[in-house]
Amino acid sequence: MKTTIKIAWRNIWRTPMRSFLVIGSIIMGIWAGIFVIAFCYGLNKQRTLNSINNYVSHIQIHHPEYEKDHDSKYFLENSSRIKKELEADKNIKAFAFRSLLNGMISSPIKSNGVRIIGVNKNEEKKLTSIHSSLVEGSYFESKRKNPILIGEALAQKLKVKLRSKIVLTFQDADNNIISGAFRICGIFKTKYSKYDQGNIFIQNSDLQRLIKSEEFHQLALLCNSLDDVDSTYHSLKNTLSDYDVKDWKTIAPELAYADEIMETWLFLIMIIIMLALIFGIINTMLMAVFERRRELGMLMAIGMNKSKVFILILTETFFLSLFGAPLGMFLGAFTIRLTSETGINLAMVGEGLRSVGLGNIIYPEIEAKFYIFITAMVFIFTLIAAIYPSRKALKLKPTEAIRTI
Amino acid sequence: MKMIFKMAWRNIWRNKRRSIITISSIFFAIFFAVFARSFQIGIYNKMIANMVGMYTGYLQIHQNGFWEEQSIDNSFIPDQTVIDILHNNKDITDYNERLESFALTASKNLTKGAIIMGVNFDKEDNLMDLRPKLISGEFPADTSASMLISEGLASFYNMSVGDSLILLGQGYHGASANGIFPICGILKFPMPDLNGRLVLMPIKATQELYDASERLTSLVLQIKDPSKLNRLKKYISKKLDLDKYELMDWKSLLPEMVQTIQADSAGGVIIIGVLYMIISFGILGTLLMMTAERMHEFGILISVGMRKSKLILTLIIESLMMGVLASILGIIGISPVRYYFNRHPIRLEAQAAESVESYGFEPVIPASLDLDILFNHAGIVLLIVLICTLYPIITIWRLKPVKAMRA
Amino acid sequence: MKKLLFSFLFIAFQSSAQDAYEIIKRSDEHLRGASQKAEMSIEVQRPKWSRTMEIKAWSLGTEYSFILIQAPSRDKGTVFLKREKEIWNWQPKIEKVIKLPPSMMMQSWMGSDFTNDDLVKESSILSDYTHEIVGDTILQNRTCYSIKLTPKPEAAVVWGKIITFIDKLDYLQLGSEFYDEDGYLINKMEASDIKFFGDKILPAIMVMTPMEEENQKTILRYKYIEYNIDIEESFFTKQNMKSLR
Repeated sequence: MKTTIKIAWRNIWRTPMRSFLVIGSIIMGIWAGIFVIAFCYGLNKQRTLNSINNYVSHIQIHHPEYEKDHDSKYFLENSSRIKKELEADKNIKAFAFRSLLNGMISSPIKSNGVRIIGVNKNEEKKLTSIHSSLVEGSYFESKRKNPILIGEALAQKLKVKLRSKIVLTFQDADNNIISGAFRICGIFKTKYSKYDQGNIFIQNSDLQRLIKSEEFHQLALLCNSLDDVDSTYHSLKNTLSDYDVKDWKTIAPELAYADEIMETWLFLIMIIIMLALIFGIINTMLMAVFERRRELGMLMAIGMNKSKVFILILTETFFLSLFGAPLGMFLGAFTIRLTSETGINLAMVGEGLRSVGLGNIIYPEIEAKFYIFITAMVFIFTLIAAIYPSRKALKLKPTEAIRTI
Repeated sequence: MKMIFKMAWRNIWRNKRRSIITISSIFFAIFFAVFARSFQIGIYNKMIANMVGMYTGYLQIHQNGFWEEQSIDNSFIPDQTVIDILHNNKDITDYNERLESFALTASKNLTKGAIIMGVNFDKEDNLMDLRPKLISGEFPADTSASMLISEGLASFYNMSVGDSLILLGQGYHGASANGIFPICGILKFPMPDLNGRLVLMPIKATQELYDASERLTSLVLQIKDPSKLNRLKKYISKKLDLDKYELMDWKSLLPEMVQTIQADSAGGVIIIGVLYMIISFGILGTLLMMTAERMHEFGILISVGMRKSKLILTLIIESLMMGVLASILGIIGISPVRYYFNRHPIRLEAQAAESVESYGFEPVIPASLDLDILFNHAGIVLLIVLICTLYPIITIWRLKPVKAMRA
Repeated sequence: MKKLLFSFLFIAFQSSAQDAYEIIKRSDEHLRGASQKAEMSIEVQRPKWSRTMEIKAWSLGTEYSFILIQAPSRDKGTVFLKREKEIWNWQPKIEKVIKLPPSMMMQSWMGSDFTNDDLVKESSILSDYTHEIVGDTILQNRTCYSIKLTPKPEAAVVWGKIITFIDKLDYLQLGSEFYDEDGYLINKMEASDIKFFGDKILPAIMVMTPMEEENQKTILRYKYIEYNIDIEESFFTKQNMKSLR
């Protein structure tokens, strides 16, 4: 046995090209597996984060009756209590209180129904990325009175622009009709023009001055990371049980939907990649076995028995895999490290992708367990792939083999 | 020249085993590339079909200018030429007449804005798959003036089948639209936005409500084969009076969807790219080993007098022949598999299935039967084969016969 | 000497602003009166169609009013009730009284170029603007003040400025021009056919034209107006909507 191992070891150094091919296949296989998984998760994460950062946040809290008909009389009672609770939770990175009202926005030309979102500028900046999706103007930095932020799609519909005056009309909690003149201090654009058309932002302070109350309808918060959400969600459900607490998965189930589909799809594509890899290795090794028939025939002629030949080839493959595996893992890790910093810009790949807008840079990421998993899988598959060619080697007839050209 | 072909062909079959290994590596390359891509395209098409089937359909005809200003004053009465175009085209299985507008719904104490869709229920059931969404009551008769409301609306008013709801709005040419209509059924739509404010009524009753007799806001075309969409669109555009009408496909009707799909598609391309890396490596490996094995043979041929360029050409032709053969086999081999997965798509499991079903969509991953995929990828693989053939070409080029013969 | 001149100018300026305010006020009061009953027609003209409605209206100050539609037959019997800041609607077909939400306020009234808000809003002409006489014009063979109304900073109005023309003799509002903040003329109102209704002199025809559209306008024609009728707040009730004639 020891001899076989010695021979196997020497063999792999003797024919660098052959060895390189097998090692190369293994490295490719591991790299591909790691990259594809990281890429898919990164793609999905990007989509989820985009929604969370712009629209949903991690967790939202409302009055228990609010969700049903969005009536402004259902505001968050005792908001200072909520505030205290959130400030005490170390997992929470940022939170913001908002007033929500349905009303009309009017310009000299046209009127439109909108949802009016009253925000606290500084809280919001930490919570959402709307402030970085401005195409014009500023995020409430204007010194004018009653600034308002409107979506580009809506500005176009109303035929207004930066610094134009518009009038908001809405009802307060007692059903009195309130109007106020506002001036556009900024124009934002997100990926969903429907959102841009239907929502506008004003400062809570201005809103509350008009409706003469200081109530909020919604609390949205961000945890330090996506992983903290579950535990935070459950603990808040407990301590704030008289409110309606929802996490992003409940608010935007279509995000979770994408996650699930992706995992099934990923599984499928991994199977295909692994199969392609295995067949590639089988073919390469078959070719290699026949390239070596003279040498193997020689060995068998001088007395190496068939089972030893079989083990020889497998041992060679084993050694090659030992080299390939860590190299593959390293290459994979390196690629992930690199691309997760700079991101992969999809625009350069897609033909005919016009202005893709924000958030189409993918940051691949992968859990540590996958490294081991993929590497082990490729290692085992390579050895299994080697079985068939090795068995073919046994069918060589020594006498014929020596005589071949 | 003919001799080179002959030689190439004989070379291939001279060493069956070697050639079969090479051919099979190319075969598998095509097989897997097409397999993966078919699923990708299959998913996109299914996603599009799902989204499109929910409301807009693949293709719509409106009065010119309607999409920019969607008011009932921009409704139209389709003239006979339009009807003829639609009737005479085999790819159009049906066309749905719709009159859509806004109205204020009201009860004694509450009001809520809603979208009113005047439709032909059987045709819409075909397109939008309404029946499974009916959670109580039944479809109104085409001649009646009762309506279906969405679940969100029903719970807002706390109403059920048998109650009546008031509609107030602006009709055609400034007429006022108002009436009180009984609810004969409730529909549940998966999209919460739609679910909160949709009302469906027989089109005749809607036309009467808005004082828009015989008028439509859109004609939604039902298409037999979505892959023929572009061709159909071109055909209709040629025959349609584009001053009077506008023809829009789902891409213009749902621009947000287009963006999402493009982003997904780009991701898909990257993944196929990775697959191709693996495949190419496999093919390269096979060719490398083949070259190593035939060094002796090359050495003899060169030393006996064959010109290197001829040998190289022979090798290129060998590769091409094997490539083409493998392609044909690959196409033949993958087709039944694709067909199978098209008819019996992969079912999603547990959680994934639930999420998808909650939207009213089938939780499946089907394979596409697009012929384009076959030919595109066969082409790409052949190209890869040619590129990998560079290695043996360069080896031959640098060959020193004596050394080769001693290999 | 300078000081005297300066203070003289100051007083003159003040009184001109005072005058402008007074002029508008008188014009407004002339139009409104304590209570009023009227019959009119509203013709809506559009590039491809036109419609005419016959209307009967009652009002008490600016807080309460009834509008009853008498023609065309499709809309006959429709009633709008305004009580303070709320609008109610009655449709004979529906037989239920509905309160219109604020979102309806900004939408056009019955498809015309007037909004619900125009009907409902307390005359904010006085309180939401500062007033200044900027010249004279001749309209309908009468000399009129041209008065510029500039919205106060807090005022909830969409206009950049309004120029209104008030006749010097009877303080009739004979025209208004509504500008956006960039100085574009958006809407124009013109009054004509001045005659006596009882003992009040008023323009019988008012035309509202949106300048950004082509071939579009709304024409209001008064057939009959009676002032200071015997009417009380208790008349303007939801119950009365059903029996209005």
